Amino acid sequence: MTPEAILLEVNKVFAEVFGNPSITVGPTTTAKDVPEWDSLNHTALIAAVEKHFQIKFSLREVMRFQNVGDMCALVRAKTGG
Amino acid sequence: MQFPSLEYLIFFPLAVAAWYAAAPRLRWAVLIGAGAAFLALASPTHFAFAFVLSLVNYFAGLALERWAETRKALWVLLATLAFDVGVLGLFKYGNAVLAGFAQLEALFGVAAPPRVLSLVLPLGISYYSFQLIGYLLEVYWGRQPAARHLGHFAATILFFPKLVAGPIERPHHFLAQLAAPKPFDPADVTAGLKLLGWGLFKKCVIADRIAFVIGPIFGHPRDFSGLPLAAAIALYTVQVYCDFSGYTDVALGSARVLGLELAPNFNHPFSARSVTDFWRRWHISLSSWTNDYIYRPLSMVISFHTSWRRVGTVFSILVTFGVLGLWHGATWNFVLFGLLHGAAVSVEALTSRARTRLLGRLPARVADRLNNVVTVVFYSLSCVLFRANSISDALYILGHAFVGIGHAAPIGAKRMFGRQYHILLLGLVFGALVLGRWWTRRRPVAARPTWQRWPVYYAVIAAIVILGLFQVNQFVYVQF
Repeated sequence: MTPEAILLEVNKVFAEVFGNPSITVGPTTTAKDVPEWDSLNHTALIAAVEKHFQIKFSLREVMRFQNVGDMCALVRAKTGG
Repeated sequence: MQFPSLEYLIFFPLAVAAWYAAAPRLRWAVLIGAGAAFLALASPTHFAFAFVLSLVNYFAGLALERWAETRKALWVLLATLAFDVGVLGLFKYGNAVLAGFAQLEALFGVAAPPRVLSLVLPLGISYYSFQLIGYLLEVYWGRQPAARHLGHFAATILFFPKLVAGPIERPHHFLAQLAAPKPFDPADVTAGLKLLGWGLFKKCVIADRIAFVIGPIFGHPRDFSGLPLAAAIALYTVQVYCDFSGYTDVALGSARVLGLELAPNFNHPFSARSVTDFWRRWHISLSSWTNDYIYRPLSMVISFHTSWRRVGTVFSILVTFGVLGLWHGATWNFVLFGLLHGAAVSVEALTSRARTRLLGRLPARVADRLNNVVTVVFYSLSCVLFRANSISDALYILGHAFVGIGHAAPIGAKRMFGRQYHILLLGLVFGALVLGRWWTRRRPVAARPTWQRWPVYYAVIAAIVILGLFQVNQFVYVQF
């Protein structure tokens, strides 16, 4: 998958988890930019991304995410994109 | 050393002069010297503890980076965390654990002589040990590099304004400032002094006077009922805010005079619209620490290994708030305080969509105000656990504060005798603050012309000098 395609899919997961179809995220988006994205929803978001792409993250990998771009890059590496 | 003290009045200008007189690349040495003096004035062992813990964690950080992604790094992390938590636990909770064992032994009929460790809690250990633990995890997770300069690292931990009551600084934020110290800027000095003065006003004029007024009520709650208890609950909420935010202002102001920035601890907490929101605004450096280093990893691990998402979330929240409560001290009051807030945050997390739907039927302003009032009342009532001498006292206060108009029994009235003047003075100060808020609602003091600004500054200074109570109470959060 291309980085753009992964971002598009990740965007769909965000919309579903946060119950907001109009949500738009980019590579530099952080939790501060999305009102619904708090630490309580973060776990659900990570689980949904894992399920969507059929991958598994480690704790260390998740704790290193600084923004959506970091998450997409790891998804791409894990899906062989 | 207390902030509102003659010692600090002499110590602080000397530290500032030494800081600006030193070459920028050697300023870290001034901070270590000032930190050492600050702690050693109480006892040299306080400094020794802070320094040894800094050393151990400095070398552990280097090892974590060197062995990143290997099994060795995990062992270094676990060993150093065990050391940090062990030292903190021994000094802060050692006697409580021994007392627990003694109760257990008594339950099984084992007669054993009472065991008490004669340990003095090293000043500030609750604050700097959490900073060190956060630093280790940041390096282990690869989010931040290890500190290379031992002097910078030790100066970060030993920075005197935040030594004894925080904020719980993220070391990397401070290390970056030490690597490139700002040149002298008069704007930093004036801004810092204004913050310092305002902090002293909140502490000496408001918090300590409230402490004096409500002391007998919390000391002997059973001599009171009704209104005096309700007033004491409300006033204690104001006291703890003015005390801790006053301390934080003095710490941030002192740092600002040196051109350094510390993490903020408060963001209008009493405008919060939920308990969850409250903890994003109150003691931010502690709540964000527990969120980043306890809640997030714990909830992630549970999510990775189980399918109990909701149970995992609630469990992680309760553990996080349990630790947050226990951090304040080894008493059931603090544990209950933490768990109560954990329960409230859990309920909010589980009912967030339903509440949004329900409150969506009300006008937004009404819903916001309602949420705000519920949050503030909840916090005030939970503070009784924080202040009362025992859980039984707390239950008495909560059970009798809202029963009728109430009265101070003759003995209670006697205990309050002589405090009328202080109550009147507090009323006048609150009145002046309400007027001040009205006056500055469109244009803050700092944006006003000199002839309006300076009388306000002089009035605050005069209030501190004339109305301030000095050496009455140490800061509430210093004892933690």
